[in-house]
Amino acid sequence: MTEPVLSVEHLSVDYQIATGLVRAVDDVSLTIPTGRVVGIVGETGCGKSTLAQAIPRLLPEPPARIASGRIVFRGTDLVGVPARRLPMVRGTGIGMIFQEPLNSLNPAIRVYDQLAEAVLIRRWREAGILPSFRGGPEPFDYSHRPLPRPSEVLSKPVVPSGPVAEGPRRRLPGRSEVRKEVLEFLRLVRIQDPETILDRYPHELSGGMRQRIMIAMALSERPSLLIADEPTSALDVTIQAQVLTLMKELIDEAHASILFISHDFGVIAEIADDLGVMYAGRLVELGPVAEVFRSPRHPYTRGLLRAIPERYKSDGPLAAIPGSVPNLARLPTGCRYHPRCPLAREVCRVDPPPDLAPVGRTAEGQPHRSACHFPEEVAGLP
Amino acid sequence: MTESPLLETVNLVKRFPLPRSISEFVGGRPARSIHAVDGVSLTIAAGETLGLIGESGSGKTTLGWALARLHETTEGAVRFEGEEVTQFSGSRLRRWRSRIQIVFQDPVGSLDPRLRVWQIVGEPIRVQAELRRRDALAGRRRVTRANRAIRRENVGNTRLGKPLQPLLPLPEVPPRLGRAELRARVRSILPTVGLPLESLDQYPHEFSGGGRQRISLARALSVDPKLVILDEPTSALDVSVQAQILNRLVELQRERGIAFLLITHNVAAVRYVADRVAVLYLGQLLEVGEVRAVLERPIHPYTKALLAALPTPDPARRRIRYRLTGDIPTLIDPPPGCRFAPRCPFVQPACRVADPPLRPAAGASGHLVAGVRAEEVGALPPEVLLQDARGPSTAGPDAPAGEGGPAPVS
Repeated sequence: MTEPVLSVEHLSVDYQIATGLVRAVDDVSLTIPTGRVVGIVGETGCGKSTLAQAIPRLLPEPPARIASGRIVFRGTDLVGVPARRLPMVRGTGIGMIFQEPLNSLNPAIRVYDQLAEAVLIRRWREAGILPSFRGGPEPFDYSHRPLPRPSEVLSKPVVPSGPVAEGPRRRLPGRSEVRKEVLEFLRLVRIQDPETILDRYPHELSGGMRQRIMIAMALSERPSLLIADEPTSALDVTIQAQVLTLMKELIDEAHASILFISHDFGVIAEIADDLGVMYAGRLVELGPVAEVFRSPRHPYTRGLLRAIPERYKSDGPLAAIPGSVPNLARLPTGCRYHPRCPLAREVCRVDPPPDLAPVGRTAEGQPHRSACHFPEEVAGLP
Repeated sequence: MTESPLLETVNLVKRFPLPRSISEFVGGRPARSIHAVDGVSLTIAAGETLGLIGESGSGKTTLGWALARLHETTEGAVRFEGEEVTQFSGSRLRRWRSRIQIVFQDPVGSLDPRLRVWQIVGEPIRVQAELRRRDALAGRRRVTRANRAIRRENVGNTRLGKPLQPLLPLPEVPPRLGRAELRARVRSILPTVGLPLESLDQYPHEFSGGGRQRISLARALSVDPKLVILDEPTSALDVSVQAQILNRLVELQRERGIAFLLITHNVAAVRYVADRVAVLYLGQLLEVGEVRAVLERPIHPYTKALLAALPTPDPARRRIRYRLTGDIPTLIDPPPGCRFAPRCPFVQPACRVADPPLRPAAGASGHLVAGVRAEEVGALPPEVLLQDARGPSTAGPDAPAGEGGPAPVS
């Protein structure tokens, strides 16, 4: 197997609140191999979004703080990267798609300019005008030339003069070239007649359109990892189906790696290859998606799967999980899930469960991990 | 269904007028309007749950608000237990509100952050109690006036030696609802929605999304309504908590015989809670029927597309979907004809002429459908439906010609 795009090792994230520290992500480890889609599910308040935003270091620090762990992205530990270098990692390195596209697109900037900015930044990085991220132990390429004046950029092609560092340098794109590329990306996300929406503002577009613009924007920087935080939750099912189909096609075409956060098992089942389940800041189960769905090895996963309403009321009541996600400032002792768990016994109340340990393997030899005292008994639950 | 339904709407229309621009005003062009609900006729029987599904912008919420008289309707009738409620006003309207209650979409925005739970849940009780007291006081004033007239008459009667008229008895006026009693009433309601008694003195912000939704539900149930309109009651909740709330709804209905109108885009929730389902698209009903019939054997192409778009929580069953292309078109003065025609893979010229009326579907009792070729499309094998293109409609124009198109719409 090739080296994973991303490997998160024992990551913990704290939030500073008035009464002290709250650990929102606790000792989470996961890897995202190249070309695979890793889904993360869990209830609200389980730390899914904190994890998603901690990886590209998007969390405001303070109040958030990475307490421990490593985020190794293409061979570079992002935890050690100083804040002013982070913009180089984002975009061309890690792309983000957020839940509510209206809040993440700039309402005062037309669609074309938002997309052109992303295209231009990538082209400038490729042309060595902006410093770029290349990963590895020496992650940043500083051999760039200073940014030319805007008039220079937009009117005529600039051929780099003077000393040029090793590697191929490309000329800067002209206006028509950027426009062509923007249109190309809009077509890539299956927007018909992209010319007609270039001059629109985000509020003039429908939700599905906006989400497609977000995806186009993230893709136009050609990231090696895409983090999608509930990308379809704000959309209607028919539009959601369009966006999911689009993302699936893009995965096949662009061979992207995706971290896909969702609370919707239906969506995860459609798109993910691997599935991680989070509860109260911890990863409690991780494995290939079909395996986790077919034989969950953590009572929480099983509870969530059984709570999906797939029956009529004449078929009897739904299997709800009693109680709710604990407040992270007042976590229960032992296993965090024990107050809601049908398998809970004395040891669960006292001892925290073992770390995510392999409890089985698929036919292809992929491990299925669970953090439960009694993973074998989950299948026997009524 | 021989008995009269609890709630019945006839051709309900709600339009929101748009402001006219100066050029439109000078040019004498008529004001345009958004046709949010366009000719909806539906019924809800006592004690049943009608699920109303549709995408955002289809007019689900507007319809719910119009039924609860939170929007004034533009045209059409709403009959509640046989009474025409669109004409209610004043205390009649306010008294009627105890029979129909609504749980709003946004559990944060619909709870006053400065009120405690007992005040929020008790408010409808207090308002209705005050109304009853006010009506009783008005009644007593009427009786007192009448008695005064009787006394005057009696003075004459004594002079004439006639027998005295008896005075009318004074009606009982309920005492003001005190704080302690209100709290006691609220305390008895909280367990029915699964809230602990300690929550009586808490504020909404101290609750999770599920807890807030329970407060909303408790408020709606506090006055013992006949019909509760649930507007996206679980869309902000996780599946685990959603299952708790849905179970509670079904139990409540069994215990108290309340009718629910469940407005949602969540088909799974509708499947579990509803007895019948209505599919709304751009303000028009496309299909109404028993929940199993609609969800398992949908007839209208839109219902089929909507159901096919649902992601199934089973990685083994990933499939190519019967995809709808395009977004929902505009609602500003839409052209006549089926609203679904621009997105429909089976569109016919007849579809664009007039609104297809909701009619009983052939071969299925109690199943209503709008659409020219609905049954024919429903009978097509799934492979044809899976084709994304408009192929089938152009490839097979022979059959619909024989049917002679729809009956002309009055």
